[in-house]
Amino acid sequence: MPANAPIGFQERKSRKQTAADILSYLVDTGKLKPGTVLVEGPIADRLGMSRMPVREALKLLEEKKAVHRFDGRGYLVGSGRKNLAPIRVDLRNIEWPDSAVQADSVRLPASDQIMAEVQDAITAVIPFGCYRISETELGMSYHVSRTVVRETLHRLFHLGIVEKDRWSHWIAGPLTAQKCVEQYHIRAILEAEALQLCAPTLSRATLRKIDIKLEKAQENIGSLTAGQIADIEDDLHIRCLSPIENRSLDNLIQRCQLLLVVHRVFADHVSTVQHAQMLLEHRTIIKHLIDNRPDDACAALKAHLHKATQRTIERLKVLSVVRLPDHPGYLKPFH
Amino acid sequence: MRKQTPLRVLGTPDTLIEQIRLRAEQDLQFPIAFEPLDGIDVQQRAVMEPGSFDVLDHWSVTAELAWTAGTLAPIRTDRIDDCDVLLGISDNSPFWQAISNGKGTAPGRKLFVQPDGTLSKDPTGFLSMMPTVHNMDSFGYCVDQVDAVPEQESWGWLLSNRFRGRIALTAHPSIGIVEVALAAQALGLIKFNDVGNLTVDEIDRLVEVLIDLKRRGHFAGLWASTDEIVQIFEERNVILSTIWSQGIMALRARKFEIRNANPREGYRGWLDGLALSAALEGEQLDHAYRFLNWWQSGWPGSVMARYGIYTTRPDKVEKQLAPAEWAYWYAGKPASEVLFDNSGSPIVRAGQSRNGGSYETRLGAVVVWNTVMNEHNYVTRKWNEFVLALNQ
Repeated sequence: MPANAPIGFQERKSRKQTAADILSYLVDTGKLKPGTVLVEGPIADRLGMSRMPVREALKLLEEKKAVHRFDGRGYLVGSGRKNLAPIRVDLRNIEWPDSAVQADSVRLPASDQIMAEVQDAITAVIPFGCYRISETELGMSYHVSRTVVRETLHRLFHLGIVEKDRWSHWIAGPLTAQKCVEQYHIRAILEAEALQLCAPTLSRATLRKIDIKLEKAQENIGSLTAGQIADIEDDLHIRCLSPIENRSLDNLIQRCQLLLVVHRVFADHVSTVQHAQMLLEHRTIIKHLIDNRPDDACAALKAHLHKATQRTIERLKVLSVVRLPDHPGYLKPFH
Repeated sequence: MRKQTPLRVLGTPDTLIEQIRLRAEQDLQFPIAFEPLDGIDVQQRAVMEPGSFDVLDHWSVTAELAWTAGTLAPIRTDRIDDCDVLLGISDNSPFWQAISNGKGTAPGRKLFVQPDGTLSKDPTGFLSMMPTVHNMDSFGYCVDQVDAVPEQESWGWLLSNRFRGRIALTAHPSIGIVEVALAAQALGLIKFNDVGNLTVDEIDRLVEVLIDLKRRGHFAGLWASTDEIVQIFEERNVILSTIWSQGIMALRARKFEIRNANPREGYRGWLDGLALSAALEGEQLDHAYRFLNWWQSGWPGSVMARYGIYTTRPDKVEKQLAPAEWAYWYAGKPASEVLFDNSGSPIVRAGQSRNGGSYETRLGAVVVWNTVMNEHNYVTRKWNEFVLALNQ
């Protein structure tokens, strides 16, 4: 985007794109100087978004070399070619393009504006039991109409996060070991098929880049951030499968993301998740792809998801000692 | 002289006994601090606060959860005195056979740390915990109030209308669910595929049965500690309850005529052990290993035997018990004289014998071990629904 270009006037932008555009605008106009430290939390607060789209926006800007990682939390403005000293500023003192943000928000589908937060709130409680979602209270808590609430819940339904019971109540959870086994089983079938289809189109250069990233992660296993782990998972389970042309298959794969909940809640309440085995298994798959052995790669992917099933079940067991965290009033415990 | 930091041992009052702490300090010549908590609190601390203890003295279930949470360090078998004798793997001892077989996740199957960090029964040089005390539990009943034929003792009594309103259960979810599953199966209410590893559907059906019974006033209460067992028998007119050995002894010391049932379906077995905090290092780590080895010296096992609880290395325990004590507690023979508990109260009359027979016979009669079933988290949440359901 050119400097000073008006932002936020595109049709139906995602929140990730909105955040990326605003940050690019601030960098391009010099309001965020090279070396400025960018951390998810304060940016999310300033933009009135959850952290997820901001995290993704920062990753997007990293790919465009507008920001880079450094030996600390967050990112530094700049490509990273120059060795800049981190500049820590209070991001609230920066002049943010409020009107543009607002204009942009208006153009977003209303359900987009609450989707990430509602999804986060629901997935945080489902390991603790079954919850009914009150449409009325959900609408009241975000000051949105019943139509927007239903649109949001339908989208969560398509992601496999909420269901409707026989009385047509919206319900979520409980996340059980049985559900984990079923979901991983589906993923193993779908992702192995997708990888088989995508393998011929994956470039060696891309795969080698992924392998180097994995090797570095193994070397720095003790200091991996949640963002880096998410990135590594995305490399295999999203980017390697992204060339797929069968949209229906792709949609089905997208519906099996519920399992990530266990690892997130485990990391939030109990302990850092151990990643050594996951990295080892990812490297095996990528190496098979580099060596042009798609059948072996698919078999290794299935074996990886099988082991991940057991790891997930073990972590879910540990959540038994965690007390139910605070949650919004629109989520009602339901037996 | 510098003041030594005590070795902090986290566990429950059942094994963190002052008599044991004092003797350990005297034998080992370093300070030891016991922190006895309720079982559920121990689990939370073990999983969420690794820096708050040096040694974990608790259920195999807790060690398994803490291992997954990364709060434990692997125990080197070469630093445990005669580890092979302790576990009895080479000679396939009754202890090893019992803990590594059986339905569900028998505790021996989660003992050895594998190179990929998982736990299994395949021997390696590292343990997740060092096994210590264990027992075979069931329920106890007042022989003067229950018109019973001992040969017909059955877990089904827990849910039988015969004793409605005068039954108590443990409040601990992972233990309680297995006991009532054995009861429901004994009465033919539900047939389980594997009582040690219930499915979501089986758990739902079982909890539904329990809540229905609770609303009809079937249960007089739930207990979580030995003190609460005594209280519930004294104050709520209970005549039958799931129980553990300390509870039996405590009730007998208060003149209750309690019989520890030998159910025809078999016992619920459990195993405790000592585990090391992942935060241990240096001298404190050495002290921890010395404490672990001290536990295998026989004397702590003799204290536990007088509570009716078995300990690994029974060969050493035998040397610390009087012949009459060994004959009663381990060999299953009639007491040749009156036997006393650790504080000197008489708890066994002359001629009385332990229900279920010898150590080996009782070990062989375990039908299910305390386990972390796959649906452990779901069981915990559903059990709470039963605990919270109101009596009508």
